[in-house]
Amino acid sequence: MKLELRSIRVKNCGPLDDVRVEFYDDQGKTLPVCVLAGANGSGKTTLLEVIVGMARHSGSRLPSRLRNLEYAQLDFLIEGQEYSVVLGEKPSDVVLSANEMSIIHISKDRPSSNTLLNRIMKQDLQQQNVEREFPGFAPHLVNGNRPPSILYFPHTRSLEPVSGAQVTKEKLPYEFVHRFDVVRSFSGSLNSYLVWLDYAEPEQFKAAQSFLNELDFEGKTFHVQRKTLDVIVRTRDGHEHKLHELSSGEQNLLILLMELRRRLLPHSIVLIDEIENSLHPAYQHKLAQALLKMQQMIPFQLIVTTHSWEIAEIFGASAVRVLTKF
Amino acid sequence: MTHAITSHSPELTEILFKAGGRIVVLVEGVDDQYAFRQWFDDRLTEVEFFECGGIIQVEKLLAEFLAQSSMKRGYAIIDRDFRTEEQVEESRQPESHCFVLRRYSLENYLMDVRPICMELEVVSGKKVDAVEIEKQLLALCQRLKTICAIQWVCWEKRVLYWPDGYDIEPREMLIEKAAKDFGCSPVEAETLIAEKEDLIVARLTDLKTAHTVISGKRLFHWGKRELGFDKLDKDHVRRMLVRGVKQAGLPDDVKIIVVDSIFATA
Repeated sequence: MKLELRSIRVKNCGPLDDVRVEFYDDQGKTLPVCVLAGANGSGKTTLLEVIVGMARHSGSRLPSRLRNLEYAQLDFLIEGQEYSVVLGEKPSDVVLSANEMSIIHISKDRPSSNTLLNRIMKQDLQQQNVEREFPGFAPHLVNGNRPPSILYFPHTRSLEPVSGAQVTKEKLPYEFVHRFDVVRSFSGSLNSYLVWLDYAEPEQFKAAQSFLNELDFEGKTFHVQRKTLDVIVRTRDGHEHKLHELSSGEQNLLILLMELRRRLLPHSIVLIDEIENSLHPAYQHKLAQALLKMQQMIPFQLIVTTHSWEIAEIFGASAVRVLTKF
Repeated sequence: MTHAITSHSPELTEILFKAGGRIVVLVEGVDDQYAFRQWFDDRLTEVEFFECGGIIQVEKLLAEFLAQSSMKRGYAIIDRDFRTEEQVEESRQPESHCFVLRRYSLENYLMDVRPICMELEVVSGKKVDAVEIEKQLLALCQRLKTICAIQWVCWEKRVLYWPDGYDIEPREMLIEKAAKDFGCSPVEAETLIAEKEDLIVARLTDLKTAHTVISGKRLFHWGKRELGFDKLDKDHVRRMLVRGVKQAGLPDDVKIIVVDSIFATA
């Protein structure tokens, strides 16, 4: 099943007065990568938060950022069929489809069972045999019919030290919208994941380990110390340190690529805020090229925000959408 | 009104990306960009200068910018070349977005007596006679009159300019080559060039007016060799003179364009 985000309209939300961003090219084809750019405070993060907030809204209350906006609309294509998720009072210039079934209204005040996920689940899901078609990806999500998901990486990305008793059994429930988190209690931390894999699924661990080693962090290799239940990093000259002691840039790269390998289902949407966080231009190339290579292995729509022209150049100027008014 | 965020040309995308919310000022080349960024480095929070690779690209990008802009905070500063005083004045209207320098090009502000003296004193460690430098510059302008006259005809005929370092003497050789480039006889070329030489010579009475008709790029090339910067790298000298201009005080014309016109209206 294909999930594509085509456009977003947001009115009166934080720094956004009234904007509509198109995630497709001049021929109407959805961009595989879209780079959201703009000065600080132009609303890049707000757009990502609106996408995530509206897509995952179910029974819970809306985040305050969404409760205060005047109107927002996300236009999706699900298996080629148009769906709009709308929130707030429709402006006069908006013309929605006459087919009520294709419109998902979200209420600011009350929970609703009418969600994007519900609409997706009503579609005739084809078997998503991830392991066979896309070996190595989302190994714990391959059983059963899993629709594509939305993976969101906020701009704060770092590894918290987890070892010993904090290591938990790897349980990776399917989440339609997954938001990366950095809190120490986060049960799905990367350290915990790798230690668990080494203990319980040595084959999976080997695959994950070679994936990490192939990323080539200046010759660093990744290992698990069973006595202490720690992930350790061995440098080219034989020194060792813990996983969370990697530089902030290395952590950024590791988190993004490892988490995608672990959670990415085909035709998902991946949102990355400030993709270049702490990365030297050489590492920006490394990350961008790894993402493009990943897209060749498993199709997904990538939407990133950045202040780095390096990143924009890699993905191409036609993929760039500048939010700053000029 | 809804702000529709779609794609632009790659060139405009790069400018909008790098400008953020700052005023955009388009200039012709990297040397111009370097000079303006240095001269206004304390205001780069509110303005950014972008080189476009020539006058044609400047005009094209400015038109694209203004056509798609709601705030119209985009401007261009271009060389005077052989434009008339009236054309320069016309570009200074309050609603203008494209300003023409009063001197021939940006290098004409670098090849001025005060910055040259200041930087020559740094290089030689000796006091430099400003009157002597002015005389040398004017003498050099006299020697450049024929090649600048040829450049003027090239400008009118839309023929490619000769390289900045092209020989400036003897006159007969220059006319012979010009005739080939213009596709006419040497006699016809001589007439065309002499007419422009007369107009140029009339402005060589002092350095200020000389700078409106003598190519600053050629003046820089030959001045670097003949004024005492010959042992230094060309880019190094340019950087020194940009600094010298700033230390000596920015030229009024540059301040009028950037501060009084662009900053005041943007």
